[in-house]
This record gives sequence, structure tokens and C-alpha cells, in this order.
Amino acid sequence: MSIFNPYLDVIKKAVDKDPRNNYIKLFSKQPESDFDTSYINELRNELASLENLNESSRLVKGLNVPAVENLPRLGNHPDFANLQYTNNTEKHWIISAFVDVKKSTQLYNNFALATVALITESIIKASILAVNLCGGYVHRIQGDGLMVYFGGKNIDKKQATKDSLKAFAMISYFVKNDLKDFFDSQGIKEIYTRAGIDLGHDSQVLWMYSGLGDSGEVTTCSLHTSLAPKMQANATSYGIVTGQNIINQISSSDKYFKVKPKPIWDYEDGRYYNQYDFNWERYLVDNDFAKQNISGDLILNIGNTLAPILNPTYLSPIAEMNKPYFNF
Amino acid sequence: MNSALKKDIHNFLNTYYNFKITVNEKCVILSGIITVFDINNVPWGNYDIDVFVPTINYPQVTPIVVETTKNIERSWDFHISDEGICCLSIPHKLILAKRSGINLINFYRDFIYPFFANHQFKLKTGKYANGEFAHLEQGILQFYKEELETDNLLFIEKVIKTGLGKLKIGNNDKCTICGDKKFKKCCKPKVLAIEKYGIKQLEKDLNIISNEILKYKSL
Repeated sequence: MSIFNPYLDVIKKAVDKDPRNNYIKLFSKQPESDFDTSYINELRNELASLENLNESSRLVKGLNVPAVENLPRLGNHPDFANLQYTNNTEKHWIISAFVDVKKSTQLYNNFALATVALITESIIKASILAVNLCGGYVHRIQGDGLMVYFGGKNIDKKQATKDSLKAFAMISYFVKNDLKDFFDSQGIKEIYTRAGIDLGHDSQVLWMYSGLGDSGEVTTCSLHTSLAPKMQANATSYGIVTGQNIINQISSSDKYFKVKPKPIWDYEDGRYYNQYDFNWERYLVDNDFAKQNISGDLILNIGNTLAPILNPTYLSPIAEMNKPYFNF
Repeated sequence: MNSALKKDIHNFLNTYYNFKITVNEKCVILSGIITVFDINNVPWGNYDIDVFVPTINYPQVTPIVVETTKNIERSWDFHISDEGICCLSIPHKLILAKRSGINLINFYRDFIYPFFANHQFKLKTGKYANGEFAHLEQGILQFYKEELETDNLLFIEKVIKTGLGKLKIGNNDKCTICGDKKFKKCCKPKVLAIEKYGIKQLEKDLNIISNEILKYKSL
């Protein structure tokens, strides 16, 4: 069972009960307000809470992992919270990452507003789960997108890099596999993620409090934070694009990264900063976060500690393609 | 290594990520792990395998698969040699694939993966999902009986002899195999089907069938 199944289940139930999906297509003049969508609140309660996050965390990291009592507030990275409401600044490396779901606006054509909101919320919560499982910090939520930081004062830069790649690979997996299969079955095509990740070193990132009074956030001023969303815009469907600084932190990077023909930044002194397509599917398989079935589809195995229930009925269609013979 | 093999290896390695490639003079070796999943993507078991793909004459080749983890008991009930060479299928099916030219991904999906899925099925249920061929010569006999839908060994012998050109029947002649309609409207499709196994295999098969008929006659 995928750790994302609880989120997918809620989306399936919401779509299944959606009045617009069921009735309005038939009676298109009937306004949405005529239909009871009170079930949405019940479904929202089914979405994973902190308890579920701790459960998933224990499944992935082991039983000794301390429980998270509350996730940090947005826009206030805990390692730099001392900067809040001050004019102080601090130089410290950070990985900035952006992801959002593209073409999700077509959901409005198919479902009631409440259902669209629940689907979006489910995707966001699933993404937050992946980010938190991998030690990241959600800085901002923008509709169906996230801005995330990986790194801080008590984490190794190489480890944070691996964490960022793993988290965003998991999010891409969820949308490309679990979610896509379901939406395809509903006739909704081409909903996909795009992501951009880049690392700024100590000399390249300035932390500060930006805003006025409570209307502000602890944020970074860095070329590399600014480049991450530009890389996101250059990503293919379900793609993740990373900056050169990320590649430099990864050994055997040749296997996972392919340089894009056009650099993402021109320093105007003869130097260019390259961007790379990240083969996250290979990364998940190579690092044993996922395996592949007969078709090569990825099956995430993060958090799968329960013994699977083996039913030969479901193995038979593949097994019966073979009729063994011995001739040695 | 010819361009077709290069292209197929590139596609294979970009589809199945946990396979690595090594190359020697005569073949390409794809080494990796198969995880058997059922249609609900429930995992059943893992096997380390080496797939030896001959470089000469590719794609008209038959890859050899060796299971290296010894997760399959080395017993002929499991259709594997002591060295771990897997008997993926009755030779005739492999010959057909070879003659029409294999594609590595399709060969993996049609022959390799189902072999290991069927091993898991056997471990769980005590039998193979689609039955099995008897071992050695008896398996060849069984194959022809199933393919030609008959237990009549004389009939099978005549079909193979016709396929080998040892029995000559004109299209519009009365079918001398079953003695029924015109050959072209009777047994010709069956003869054409088995001709695809090639002279070498048909000679072997004819020998097996003829010996079996002799056994019956001597009883």
C-alpha cells in the first residue's frame, strides 16, 4: 500500500459523490447550490492529520522517531525564526524548491467547487506529508503549489540535497501514478506536476524578515531561490529540473541528471549556470524507494512494512503467460 | 553490436532502471533484479538475474536467463538447471520469437517476467498457473498434441513429415494427412504453422514422434 493511498481514497470518494460529475452533466441547467455537499466536511476529516503523519514517519524511519506535535508555521523557518520582526540578516545555505500541479483548472469543468477544493487540499496535504517525511520545511502554499526549503543549521548539505530529491520524486510519483491513473479513468487528462530545485551556498543566500509587522515572513534573498521557479517553468510534464549546485552535491550524478541545452542563468561575465532534468524515477528505483512491475511502472515501497496479502488470482494473469518446460 | 541491439538496450535500460549492462565478445549481459508484482501491484518476490543477449544476428536470437540468487530450488520441477539457467518456454515458442526477431522489452514481458511470476504461483499454490509441459521428449509430444488438438501420433507424424517436405501433397489433392477435403482447405494451415519451427527442430521432433510410435507398435 502506498503511503499516499489515504489521500487518493479521499479524492476517489469526493469524485464518486460529486453532484456535478453525477447529475449536472445530465441536467446541466441545474445550479450547484441545489445539491447537498455536506459530505465534503466528513471527507475532509478523513484526510491525514498529524497522527497520520507520525504514523507514516514511524513506518518510514522506525519506531524510535519522536512524534511531531505540530508542524512549523509557514513563512518562519524554525532555524531562522530569530530574524522575525527584526532587521537582522544572516548568510546560510538553503535548498529552495517549488512544485505545482499544472492544468488542474480543468477540474473546475468537471466537478463542483467543493470537490475541486477537496482534491486540491488532498494533493497539498500529500505533498506536505512527503516534504515533512524527508525533513523539508513548507514555506508557502500557493493554490495547488508549494514553496519548500530543505536544509537548516543542524543538517548536512549533501543529506538535505538527497532529502529534497527524494521528497519531490515522491510528490511527482503520487501525481504521475496514483492520481493520474484515477483521473484518466474519469476522463480528465494531462494533470501533471512540474518542479524546480536549487541550492544556494552560504555566500549566496541572505536570510531576512521581509514584510511589515505581522504581514511578513522570514525568507531568503538569493539568486538560487529565484532560479528555482524559473527551472520549474522549464520542467517537462511530471519533470523536476535542478540547478548545477544540486548536481555538485550528488555522487554518480551522471545517472540521474541530463543537462538542458539552455543555461538557466547568464552571469554576463562569460560564465553560465546550468540546469538539469532530474530522472527521478531512476533515482527512486536505484535508491530502493520504489520497484517496477512488468510494465516498468514504479511501485513506491517507502513505508511498506506490512506483509502483503498474496492472492494467486491476481498473479494468475501474468503467471499463465508462462507454461514451463524442462530440457537440460 | 548492431544498431537494433543498441537501440533495444537503450530502451530497455531506460524502462527497467535496476538493470546494468556489461558487454563481452559474444553477448551483452543485462544484470538486475526482478520484483514480481501481481496485477494489483502487490509484491511477491525478488530474483537477481543475468540476461545473456547474443550480439551476432540480433534480433534473430534467443536470450539466455540465469537466476543468480538461487531463490529457485535447483530442481527440474522448477525448470531450472544447476547453474541457474531458466527454461523459459518450450523451444518452439522461443524459435518463433527468434525467427520473427525479438525486442528486448517484449521478450522480458512475454517470457522472462512470466517465468518468475509462475514460480511464485507454484510456490503459493503447488502448481503452475497454466499447467506445465512434461519434461524432455514427453513435453514435445504434449506440445504437438495441444497445438494440433489431437492425441493421434500418426496424424502428428504426417503433419511434421509434410512440413519437412518428406510427404508431398498438392494444394488441390485430397488431404492424405486426414483423408478428408482438399489439402488447402484441410491440414495445410497446420503444416504452415509448424513449418515456422524450422527444419532442424522439426527433424528432432519427427524423431521423437516416430520413436514414440515405434514404442506403441512394439507393445
